[in-house]
Amino acid sequence: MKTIAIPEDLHRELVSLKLEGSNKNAAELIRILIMAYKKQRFLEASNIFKKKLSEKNISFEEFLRRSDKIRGELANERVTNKISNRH
Amino acid sequence: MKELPIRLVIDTNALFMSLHNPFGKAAKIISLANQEKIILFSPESVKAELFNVMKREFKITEEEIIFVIESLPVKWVEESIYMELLDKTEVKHKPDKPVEAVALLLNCEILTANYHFKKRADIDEIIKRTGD
Repeated sequence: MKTIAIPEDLHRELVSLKLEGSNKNAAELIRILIMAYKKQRFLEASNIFKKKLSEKNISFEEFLRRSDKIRGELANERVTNKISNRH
Repeated sequence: MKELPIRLVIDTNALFMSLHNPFGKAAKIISLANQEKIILFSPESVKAELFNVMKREFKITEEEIIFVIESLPVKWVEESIYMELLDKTEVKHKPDKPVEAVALLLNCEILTANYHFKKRADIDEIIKRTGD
């Protein structure tokens, strides 16, 4: 077990949430909060991706086709770099 | 005894699919990884592909790209770890070789929409197995 220092108001909030919910302990509650945070961060990332795709004005299928081409170029670069590193 | 989380290797297209549709099946896998019900792995080459594809195709800052990549619950595997297995891969498409090499290394299935992989994971089956 590890301890972390948090502001008193946050501690009060955490204890209150723990009592309100059916969660057995603060660790379980923090785990749930971390999951919610990760989910939120992923949704924000998805929004960035969709916004950029929409600005580009191409379909997702077209994006994947272009991505495949770039991936091929990167793979070729990796092979070339490996060969030149050997010599 | 607590069952160990399912381990999967995820490829570039599956990650882009999850970002494109955050409520679709590929994103469901991301959600399961965030809940630590599964562990997602991918070679560093996939991380580089995500970075370079977004950089070349979008008007996007490096900070935004990093934010997007860091939102993905993926354990990135360094090339030095799977390098020796690249020669043992069967997939012909060069960019997919590191993905297959990591799957060989970890002896697990690949989460992909790509039909030329032999050890493809069935998303519905994974979702069922995790009890979601």
